[in-house]
Amino acid sequence: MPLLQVNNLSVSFDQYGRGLERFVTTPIRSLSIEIGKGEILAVVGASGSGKSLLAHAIMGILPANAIVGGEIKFKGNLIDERSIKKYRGKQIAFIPQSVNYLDPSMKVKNQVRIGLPGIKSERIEKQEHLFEKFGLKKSDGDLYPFELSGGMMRRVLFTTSMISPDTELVIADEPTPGIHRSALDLVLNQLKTIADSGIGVMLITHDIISALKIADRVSVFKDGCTVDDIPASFFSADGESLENEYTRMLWKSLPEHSFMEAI
Amino acid sequence: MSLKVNNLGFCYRPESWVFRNVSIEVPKGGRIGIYGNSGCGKTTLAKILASFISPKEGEVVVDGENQKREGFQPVQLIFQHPEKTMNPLWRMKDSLCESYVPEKSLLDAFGIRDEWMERYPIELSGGELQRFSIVRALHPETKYIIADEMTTMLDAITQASIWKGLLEIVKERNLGLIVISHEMAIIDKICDSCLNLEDYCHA
Repeated sequence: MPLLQVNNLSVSFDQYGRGLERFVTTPIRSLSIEIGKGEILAVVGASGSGKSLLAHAIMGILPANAIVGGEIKFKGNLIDERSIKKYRGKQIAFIPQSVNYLDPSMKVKNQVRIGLPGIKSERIEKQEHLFEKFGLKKSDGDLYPFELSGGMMRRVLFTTSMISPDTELVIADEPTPGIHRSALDLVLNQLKTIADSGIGVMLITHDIISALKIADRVSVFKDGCTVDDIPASFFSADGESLENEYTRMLWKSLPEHSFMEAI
Repeated sequence: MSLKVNNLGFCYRPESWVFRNVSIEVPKGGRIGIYGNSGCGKTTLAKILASFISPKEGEVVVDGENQKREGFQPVQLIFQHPEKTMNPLWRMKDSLCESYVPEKSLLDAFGIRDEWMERYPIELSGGELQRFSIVRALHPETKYIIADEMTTMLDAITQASIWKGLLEIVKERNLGLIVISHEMAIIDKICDSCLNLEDYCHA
């Protein structure tokens, strides 16, 4: 039985136009993914193709005007906005995309300590250990989010999610943009270690090259649909084994490949 | 004619330098890449060049004149997070046309659709918003463009098409370009030369 299964997920928003005129937009039409124990699934695709919305739908944190269709199953059990509460932050950990999720009025070390288990001294020790692990200085903990650079904020966000001993699934929404090479490798290695311990990982990213270093399979989204689901090994040299035209285009337009000549 | 930086230094707290003794010269039509670990001051340097903040020491000379604090800035900065640079209460057409009214051909070069004009920033994706901030920076009097992690949040296809559009205009108008990025592949493909800002850190 897969750890996480999403079948034909759709997400619509009920919005008001001028006056009382109402209209419905449907950014996600039909997404299907599957993640097994210890497996890393990379989710790639166009900006605005619904990658973050998928994560938010699983975590049950969509805005109130969202209408969700299809099914999401965690270890065979259907989950919805109410039942997710018992998994959220425990069996299922989430690393949000936007650095705006950090509290601007709180020192970052205290934000990381909130989610950690144990008594105060254990939490302090754990937080300092996590910072060290991700290449952050102890003194960085005394800073407020506005005093950190983009890449440092990313790593702080990442540490906030490394919490529970009973985590079974990690959803990481774009954990890497703006991070330099060596810090990027720390984050990737950490995700790999997590997966090797039997935890399923969903890695939402634009950085296909980095994702391929650790991913087992790749799902490609476009305009709210899953257009491709293939093993990571299919992405090679000139993309010959990529049958889907969109996937091939995505691969070729990377700056490491043809870049602007692919357009 | 060049954008010249002489012995630039910046610190938030006295004597705790983010970087020091940075000297760069970007000739008109030249392209320089800047990279370095996160937190080494790349964005801070970009903000000084575009005169959003003042350096603690050193000077910025634009085409032979000292940087001025008022009037139109010939050095324009394109930020990493476009959603943070748009007034959330203004429609896109108002944000776009605040300093000048771009020609239709420029909008077409970046694939900006008419229907987006009436929307608010929250109703567009990051890639769509970034196109607006680029066009907004391409004022007729702009001489130098700084692209600070301009496309890190975007998918590869959008990234390539945005760079293609920008480089065509940079070439046509002979603008100077500074590319700040962690992606060496992008710097390699676009720039004539590059520098690692870490070399100037903790001096």
